[in-house]
Amino acid sequence: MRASSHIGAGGLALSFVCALLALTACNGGDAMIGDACGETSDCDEALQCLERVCVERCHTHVDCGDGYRCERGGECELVDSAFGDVCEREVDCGPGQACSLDTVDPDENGALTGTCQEQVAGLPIAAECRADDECQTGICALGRCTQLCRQLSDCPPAMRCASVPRLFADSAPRFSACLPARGVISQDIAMSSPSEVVRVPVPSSAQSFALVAQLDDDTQRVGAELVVAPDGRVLYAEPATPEEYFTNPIRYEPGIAVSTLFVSNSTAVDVQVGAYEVTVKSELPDGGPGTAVPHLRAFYKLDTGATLDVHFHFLNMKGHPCSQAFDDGRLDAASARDSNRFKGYLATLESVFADAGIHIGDVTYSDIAGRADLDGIERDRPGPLFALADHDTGVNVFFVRSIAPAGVQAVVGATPGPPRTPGSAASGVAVGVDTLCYRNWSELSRITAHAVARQMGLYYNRDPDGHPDAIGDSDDLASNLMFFGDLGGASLSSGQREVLRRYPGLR
Amino acid sequence: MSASRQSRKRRRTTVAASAASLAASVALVGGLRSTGQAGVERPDDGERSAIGHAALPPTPALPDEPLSELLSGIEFVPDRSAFDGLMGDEAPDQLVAIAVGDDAELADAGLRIRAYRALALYPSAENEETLRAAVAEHGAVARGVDTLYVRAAMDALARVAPDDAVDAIAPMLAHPSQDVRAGAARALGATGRAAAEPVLRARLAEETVEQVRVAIADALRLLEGTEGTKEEP
Repeated sequence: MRASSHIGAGGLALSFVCALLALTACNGGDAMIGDACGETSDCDEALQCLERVCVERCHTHVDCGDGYRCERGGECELVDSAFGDVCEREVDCGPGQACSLDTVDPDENGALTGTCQEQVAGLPIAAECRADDECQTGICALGRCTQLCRQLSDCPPAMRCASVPRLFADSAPRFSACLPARGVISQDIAMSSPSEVVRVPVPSSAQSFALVAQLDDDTQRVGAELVVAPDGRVLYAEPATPEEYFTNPIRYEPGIAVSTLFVSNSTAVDVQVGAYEVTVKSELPDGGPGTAVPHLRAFYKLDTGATLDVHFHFLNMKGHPCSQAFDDGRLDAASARDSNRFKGYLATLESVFADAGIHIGDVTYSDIAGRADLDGIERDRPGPLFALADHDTGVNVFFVRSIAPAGVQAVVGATPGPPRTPGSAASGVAVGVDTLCYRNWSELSRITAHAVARQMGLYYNRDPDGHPDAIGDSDDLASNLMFFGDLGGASLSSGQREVLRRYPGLR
Repeated sequence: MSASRQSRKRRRTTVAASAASLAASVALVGGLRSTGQAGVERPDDGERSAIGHAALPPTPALPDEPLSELLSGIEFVPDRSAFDGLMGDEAPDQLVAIAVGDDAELADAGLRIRAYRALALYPSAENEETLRAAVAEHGAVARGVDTLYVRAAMDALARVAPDDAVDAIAPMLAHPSQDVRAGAARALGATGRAAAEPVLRARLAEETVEQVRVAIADALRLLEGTEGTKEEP
């Protein structure tokens, strides 16, 4: 609608609005999008004159393009800067320039700014990266190309301005950078020896983070020996006694070939912005110093998203001794989709997690053929089965014929299992279908929910030896989902629900 | 009433308060616990498919006591100290009573399976006899929960009496259920006895189900790897 006709229709009211907007929003010109212009007043009221062409008014700096800022009234303004000028955000620098992050913290105030430097060819903002020089802006942080910012409006859509630690040799000053507003981001953290102190930078927008350590050698143990928060608090120290295991602020266990440190699996420990110091090591089966160099990857959950994908995998159930519990005597990927019993099982699973505010998202079904060696598994050797997990998000659930020893109904890869890490020896949970010889599908659903919740980071609400949960408000009753027995309920405390929603495997 | 039963009654009194609050909590949640009776196969009736906790099974009738908890682990397998700490010298008798279904209060199939399994922790002639009888009794049934009883009994027997277990377990290599046959192979491997090797090899020659063949091969490897595989005395 052209301004002249608008005035004709709106009369005084529009004039009043124009006055309020201090002229900038009501140009009164006739030129439309793409028309030539000399200044914004030549263009329709909804447009601006940018580089001598009428274009839509801007809402964010990104609308204006490189070297321009979106100012009040929706007009892009050319930024006038010189190389070496101090900048706090990308839009402080003119065309062809990037606000390059300082490599030192000269005033040692713990905060980094930047200077305008020549922009180089490279990956755009938000692209995955491993090193600074891969990015246009010269800044790779937490595995993503980023740019400096001061506030939300400095960032492209779907990103937010967060405080991010920058790791220097002996300090970790912070800078403000645009990070994805939603989802999970990850980065590799290099180790060059079997035992090393690494630093894990954690941004202010992280709801939680997980540090996954893996070894190529599946006979050695790997894990953290010491975890120190940015404020100096020791969150975990390798326990010398069973009692010390329970007194660590963060409950954690190293594992064979893979382990996951989850901060925080306790409501008494909040995630802090800054650099966590983690001593990571491998260990030989006899307890001696390991020889394998751990591979580390940190996963940061940046939102409160609570959608859990569930991926069902079926081993060969043909001729199962309790096949009368299956619809039409079959249980495989195809039949499970249509089975009323399986639908009821899934509905119960959905109900349990809905109580935690978690929505079951994508559900997939697949058969695992040609692995007769895994049709029945042993509780203490589930690794080869879990290594078949092939989905990044959510939890992989394997239906096996039986689990030895008899009476074991489910096996959990780890607590927590490594999020977004398919193919590891802890990348899933196994559910023994022989349980259906004496329990029904609803009970199997509760068993599955219990196992999945452990894979997501919850421990028993009460250890079999009586030790309480690390989560302060957990009750110790059998009615709790995390009760270690199969004769339990499905309730969760507020704290347990909160920890579940922090799991980086959620989306 | 036996001494062990009296003892358990006393323990139950000590947990009465928590049991009362538990009952209330479970009722509130809607409960997911078993309603089944001992050893009764209860495949789902397919009618509990509605969404929501209202669709879940009602609160079970099993007593809430430490022993039933100890025998209910989804993944947790208690060690001997756990049973001794709870039942002292009465542990073996108590476990046998539960395993064979003589304890009416704890006659749930899941508890029975795990009680058979736990007998592995208490080697004795009496328990060996109980386990032999269990293998024979439950091994005669082709399907259902008996296949778990017999697997649990074979595992325990292999550990309680490895020298004499081979004869009792070997016939299970011909069981109609491939899961029992695989369990038998594993149990024979666990005996560590040379006498197990020829029966495993004989079965391997005719076994066609891959799951069982893999289990037999694993057991043979285990026997070969057992340092100085023991000859029977």
